Amino acid sequence: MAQFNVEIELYGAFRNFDDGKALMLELPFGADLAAIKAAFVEALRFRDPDFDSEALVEVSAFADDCTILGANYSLAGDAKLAILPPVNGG
Amino acid sequence: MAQIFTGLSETPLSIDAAADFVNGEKNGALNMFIGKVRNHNLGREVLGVSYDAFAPMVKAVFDDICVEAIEKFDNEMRCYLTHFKGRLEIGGISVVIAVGSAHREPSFQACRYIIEELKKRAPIWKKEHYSDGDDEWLGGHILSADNG
Repeated sequence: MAQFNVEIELYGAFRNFDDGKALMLELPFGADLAAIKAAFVEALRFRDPDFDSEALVEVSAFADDCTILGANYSLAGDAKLAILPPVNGG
Repeated sequence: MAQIFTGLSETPLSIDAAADFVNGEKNGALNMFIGKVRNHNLGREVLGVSYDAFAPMVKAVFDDICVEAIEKFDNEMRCYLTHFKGRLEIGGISVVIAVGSAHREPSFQACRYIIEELKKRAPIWKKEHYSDGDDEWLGGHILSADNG
């Protein structure tokens, strides 16, 4: 099955795991949000073995440049996404 | 005709620019909300706050919120909304909202609406820096496809 490259940009609390390199995932066609989150957690653990913020990933959203991905999202090609933890501007 | 200005800035926010934008001969009210960095939170002494933002989406969310405020409260009002990105020390201005309208009530309502919606929907985060050398990203509102 074809694998696609997904680059994840880190924001907010996930900046703590930003080592200056893009966080890249490899995922199959049709991967849903749960699969993206699982691969993201695995990649963060690889980057930082002490990573223990799965709960934060669970309450975070993924977005492309202008849209938060909905529950029915499925991967259809290479993608650049952002992970958005709970917000608190103002 | 309603007018909107929104933005995300890495340079100091201007209260004067906000007041000038919403000023108009038809407007008898100018309401403003200014968010500032305070020196304490939850019992800890705060030295400063760093603001992070997902810029591509901030502008769209700000525009949506201002349009909603205009549609809800006064379709002739002027709305100005800017947020800071980067580090601010105590007293630094993090957000400036200004609303100009013919009468006072819509300007009060719109100002309140804009700041409350911003807090729930804008992809912006803050990290507090404490006097003991620690720092911490704060929790907040969960984004979803329905409220983004």
